[in-house]
Amino acid sequence: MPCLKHFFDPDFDYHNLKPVEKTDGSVDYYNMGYVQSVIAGQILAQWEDESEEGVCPIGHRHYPDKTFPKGPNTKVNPDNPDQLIAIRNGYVFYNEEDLITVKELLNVRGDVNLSTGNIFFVGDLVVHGAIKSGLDVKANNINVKGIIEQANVHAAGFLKCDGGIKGNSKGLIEAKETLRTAFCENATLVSGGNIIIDKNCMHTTVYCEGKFAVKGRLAGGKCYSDQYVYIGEQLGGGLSSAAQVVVGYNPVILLQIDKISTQISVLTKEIEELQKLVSNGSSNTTKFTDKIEKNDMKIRFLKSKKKQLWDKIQQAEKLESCRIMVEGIVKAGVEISIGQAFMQVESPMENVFFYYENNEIRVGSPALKK
Amino acid sequence: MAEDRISIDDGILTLKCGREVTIETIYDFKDKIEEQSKSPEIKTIVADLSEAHFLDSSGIGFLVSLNSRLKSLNKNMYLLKPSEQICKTLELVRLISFFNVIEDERELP
Repeated sequence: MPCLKHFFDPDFDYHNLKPVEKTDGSVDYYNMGYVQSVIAGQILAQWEDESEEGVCPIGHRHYPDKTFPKGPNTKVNPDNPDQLIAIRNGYVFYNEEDLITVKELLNVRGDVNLSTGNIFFVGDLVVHGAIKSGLDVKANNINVKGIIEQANVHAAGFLKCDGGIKGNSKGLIEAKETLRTAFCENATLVSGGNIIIDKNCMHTTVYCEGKFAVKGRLAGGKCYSDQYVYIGEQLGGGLSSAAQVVVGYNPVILLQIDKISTQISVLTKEIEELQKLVSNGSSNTTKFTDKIEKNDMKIRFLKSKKKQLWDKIQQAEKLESCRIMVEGIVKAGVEISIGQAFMQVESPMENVFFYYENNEIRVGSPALKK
Repeated sequence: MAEDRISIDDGILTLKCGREVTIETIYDFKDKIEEQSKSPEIKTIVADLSEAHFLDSSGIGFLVSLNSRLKSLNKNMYLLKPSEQICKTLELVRLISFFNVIEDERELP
């Protein structure tokens, strides 16, 4: 009788996830492997011969003949009839009929929290509850019915959050395509497409490669958008929580520059600490000096990369077609940048749009042409 | 041989993936890499794709599962210098953004 070798864990049960003990003896509740991702074309199972004693190796299953337990989204490999392969990206499991199945959509019927751990999935994901603080979620398209808290969420496609985002200053929400949320507070949003916020966007940093629209208020924080920004009710929240809106520069390059700056300051700090240790006459001087040299080299490289990015970003075109449209009120203190032109709003305005002409920012009205 | 493809320096394991990352080629190093990834001395794995020009589904599957495995061990994985062809393949299966891509080893944090 043939044995079926699995290229996934056939006994995996997401109801029974166990925290992993790390090498230092601590326990990791965050990374428990909630799903077994597979991609189209990947081998799922393969027939192998049993041993002379008629026993299958551990983890293999005995079958009376070479008929695959073939479920949805799997097929026999046309190049090797002894292999079963996936025909879609998704997660693999044995279904109730004991057939190997690949499912493209993963439903988490509750919160993403310490009972699920971080989720890393190559297909689409629906979270029926919230994504709790401290968790990382990465999937293709993502729909979150509840709130996203101080979490890192990354969608390779679109991301829709019905419950809103409360990032507690550290939440990072990224989507390659459109990102839509009910509201957003104290988070960083990054999108390769459009960003739509149905209500208010408060104290949030936004990097948007497409169009950025807030139907309610935008107050506090910085917003980098490629060309168009639309605000429905109010831009700025008074001098204490003024907003900064920057258009005309590629937001993704700006984000890269910000990341490099952070990396440089981390390395600089590390060098300072190492130099202190060296000057105190540590026994590991050679090791520390090597590390300092390595960090110095990295910093030089990062600085030159940053300069290259700035050179690239300065070539921004289409400044004339950039628009920041505010149908409601623009509060005093709001800072507007279009390319290198800058303007600080000194007194409140209503139903206006900001545009670029002759190297300066001008104000027009009404915000939208009917 | 897996040993020729793997180098370790300062907690970073670099895997030279070669010209093709396919079902045939990954068996040379798959088990070795999976075993090494568990070592507490290894903090980061860099898959050097600078020479690669072909990636099949098993190759992608290997990279995805290695990335997931490392995440579950709280470690990082980077793809080094993937060619335009490799990026296109990963984009086609919408997996490019699952990976951290770097153009130079000095970009490693």
